[in-house]
Amino acid sequence: MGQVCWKKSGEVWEVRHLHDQNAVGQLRGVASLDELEEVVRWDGRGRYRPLRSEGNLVSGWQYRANGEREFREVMEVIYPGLWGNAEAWRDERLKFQTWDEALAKQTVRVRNKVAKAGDMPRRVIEENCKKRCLKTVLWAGKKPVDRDAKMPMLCTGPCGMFWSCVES
Amino acid sequence: MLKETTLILAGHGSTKNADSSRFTRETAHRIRARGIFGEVRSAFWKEQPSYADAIQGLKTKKVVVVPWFLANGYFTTKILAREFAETAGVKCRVTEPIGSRPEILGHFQKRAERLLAVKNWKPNQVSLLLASHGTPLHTGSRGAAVGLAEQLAKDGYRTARAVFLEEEPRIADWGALTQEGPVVVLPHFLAGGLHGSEDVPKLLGIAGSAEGWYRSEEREVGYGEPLGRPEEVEEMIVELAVAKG
Repeated sequence: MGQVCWKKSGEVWEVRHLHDQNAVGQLRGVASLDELEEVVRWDGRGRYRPLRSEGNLVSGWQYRANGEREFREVMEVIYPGLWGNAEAWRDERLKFQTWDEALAKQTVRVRNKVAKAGDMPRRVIEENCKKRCLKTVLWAGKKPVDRDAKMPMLCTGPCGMFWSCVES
Repeated sequence: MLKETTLILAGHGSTKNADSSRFTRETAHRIRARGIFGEVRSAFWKEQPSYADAIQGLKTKKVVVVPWFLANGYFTTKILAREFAETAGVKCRVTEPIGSRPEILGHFQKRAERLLAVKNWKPNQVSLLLASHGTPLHTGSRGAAVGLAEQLAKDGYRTARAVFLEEEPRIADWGALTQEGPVVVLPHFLAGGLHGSEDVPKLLGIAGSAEGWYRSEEREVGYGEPLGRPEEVEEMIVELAVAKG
């Protein structure tokens, strides 16, 4: 899923960055979810990662989850909400917003800004969503490229980062 | 019974401030480890997961949402009520916000007492201001702060009142509002946010946001630590979640 891979050995799920798929004995062990939060909070240059689905997850670590339940929590820390979305997509019950529904939830200030621009801010979708984020923008009419992917990363509505870009 | 319920801590989050959601996420991990609820999640307006995404993958059909907010204001009564009403197949209950718990007053009192102890001053020697957000969109935010300031006034301060970012009286007018002598300012904001760590200190003209005493406009200004460390709020959240709604 995204930049993360895992290997199951018995009851242990070993999770790591895709770049480290074949690394042996060189990875820092991450022992708790709080410690993992710190790993995913920053990019490789120490800058805050508000968009956890951005393709700038740092490598060089591994987390050994004891059982499926802990594995699921690990994925929730790395890609919050996305495992559940992928399961819902697989089961054909995923709900996502339309542009009009999402816009209606914004403040008058944001709605006016969008109205002045004319339509859905395509520039933000191109520059923010498609270039930075690994998710497929379902609400803008996109479909997962790889239909066979077991766990696609799916965007169900404009996020805080999207609206922040719209406002700026 | 609670094993069939998911607890969601619903916060605001930030696309700019790395600390905004930190304590919310840490508190969710702490409560999950206690094994009280079927699942425990955090969710945000500005960060991932969104409120909608937090709901989609749940194994339970019952959800209790505890607002990671200090007041029954615009966000709690409008946004959260709306976001968690639209969840077909999942029954959601939104509780009162963290700030509604009676323990909150004690946490503010402790901060003020710690600051006074540093200087060996009594409450009647200092003024106290509770610095809150306020918004013209909803009266609830103001009401919570005013109510707390009235309670704090009973401890004998020269004066004790609420001041605001977006309403009158303004935080920026702290000097005129307190006239003379030392001032204790307690931020009515949850820890990690920009308001408590940057905006309020800037309006006060103090050089930091850590709990302690500063100089501004030739006066002593004591600044308290914002609320919200996990060990401070964990039990309040559980109490809110398990109470009958």
